[in-house]
Amino acid sequence: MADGREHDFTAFYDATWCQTVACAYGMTADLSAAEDLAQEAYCRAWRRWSSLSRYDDAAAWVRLVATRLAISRWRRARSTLDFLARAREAEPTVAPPNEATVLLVTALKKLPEPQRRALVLHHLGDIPVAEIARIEGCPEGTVKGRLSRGRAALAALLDVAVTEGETSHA
Amino acid sequence: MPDLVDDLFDAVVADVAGRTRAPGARSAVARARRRAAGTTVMVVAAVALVAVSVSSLVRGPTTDSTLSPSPAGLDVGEQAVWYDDLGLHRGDVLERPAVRLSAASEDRGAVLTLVRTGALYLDATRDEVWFHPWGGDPRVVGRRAAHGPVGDHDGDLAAWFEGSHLVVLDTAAGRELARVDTPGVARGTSGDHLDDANGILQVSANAVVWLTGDVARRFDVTTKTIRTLPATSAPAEWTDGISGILTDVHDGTELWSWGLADTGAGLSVRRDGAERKLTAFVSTSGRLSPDGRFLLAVTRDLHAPAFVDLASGGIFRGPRPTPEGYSWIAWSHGDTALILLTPDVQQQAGTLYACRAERRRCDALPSSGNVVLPS
Repeated sequence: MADGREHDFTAFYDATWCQTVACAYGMTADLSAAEDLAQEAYCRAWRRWSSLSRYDDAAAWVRLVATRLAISRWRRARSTLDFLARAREAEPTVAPPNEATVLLVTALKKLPEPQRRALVLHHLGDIPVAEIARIEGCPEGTVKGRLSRGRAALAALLDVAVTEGETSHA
Repeated sequence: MPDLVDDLFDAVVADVAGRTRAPGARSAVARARRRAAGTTVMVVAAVALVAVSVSSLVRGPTTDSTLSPSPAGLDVGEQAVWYDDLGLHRGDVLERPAVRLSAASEDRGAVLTLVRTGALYLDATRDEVWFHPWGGDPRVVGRRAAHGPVGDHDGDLAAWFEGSHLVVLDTAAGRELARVDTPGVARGTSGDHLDDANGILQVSANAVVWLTGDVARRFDVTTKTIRTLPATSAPAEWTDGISGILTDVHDGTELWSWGLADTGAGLSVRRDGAERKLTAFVSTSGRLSPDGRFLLAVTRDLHAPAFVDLASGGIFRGPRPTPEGYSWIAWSHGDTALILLTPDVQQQAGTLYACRAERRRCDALPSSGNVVLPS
């Protein structure tokens, strides 16, 4: 039977799962990959739950971990996913992504990784520019530049207009 | 004002929410516990696998008689260094560090490292790097460091990143050897069983090697040049299609990791053009000794520490965690390793051992409260 600590973790997991997966999905463009990376992030979150549960935004921590896993351990993650994919063969398939999702993730994959990382962390992970700068080890201006250039590149790829100053809300 | 790009990002979140199927929190918890404790099934399987592993590793004969007996007695040796609630221990000598240290986290990475003449640690509240010379006064040697330093345990150089700048310090001479803007900053995450040294694979008298995405970068201390090394390896037939990741480097010796722990893959050691597969015996967590002669890893059966003599292939098991327990591993100086057995993965307090790989011997150490091991 789950104790109180596990009960709290389950509530946190259920409330934040979708956005964590979305964040990882923005990096991988592969839903099953994103789900496994997210699950790995929650696995690590549980290991630190006694301290993590006191964080102001534990969900951001998990999204960060999922994104880092997507970036730095991609090939290793793929091997796990291949393994999981074999195990999932008998499971029903999920619905295909909608057109907007296909458009965006396809365009994201064409961007330089620093720009893609900044866009995903900021727009899918809801992580402020200052925090991204700290994670990336670079000035905030660099992150803002990546966001600006990334959005412009996305707009070009998607053939839509982009307004200036879009990172100022961070 | 939000535009179509913002709408698309929102649409992705909504779309993923409608399609994803969460495995469930219970599954994540179970995965974490499984890693910490191993399973009875794995124990049975590993008995056979160890024999296969040994035969592929060993140039000379190795049998179960080479495995160590249970650790007993107290033979600390002057080279075991760790931090706990009492302070910074150097064998029997207790030194008072300038700041209070806490164990590595996903946010801050590893915080304590060693050089021949002292220790370096990170003040995580002020992003300052301190050098603590043995028997001397600690002093700040770096600022605005997001992660802790990494040192040459048997040498004098230490390195860390301040933003995109790699800083290399000669602790013996007390001078900064290099401060270079790098094309790729080391990226590390807290690993299973050991702290991953903040993505820095090696600091030696000649070079600093660190991981950045799919490549490693090597800064030559003498020429002040950086060159790129492959850090991923194409799948080999024996890896069942799994790609490899460079995990540790010691001069000409490379440690490669194959797959996540859940896949059942493990480590291999490349040296002198040859590759030794350790996948049957150890999991994906491991680290080469400061002198490059030994591999300290964690067994797949009990998730217990084990040493591999890279010259002979001999295997030496360290103390084992309880079924519910967890083991943390680290190298101190030379062939001395530290092993911390905790009641579960959440805790940093437990039973600490110093192991001499050459002697195949582990001895309990006195520790107080939470322990921080060097990276």
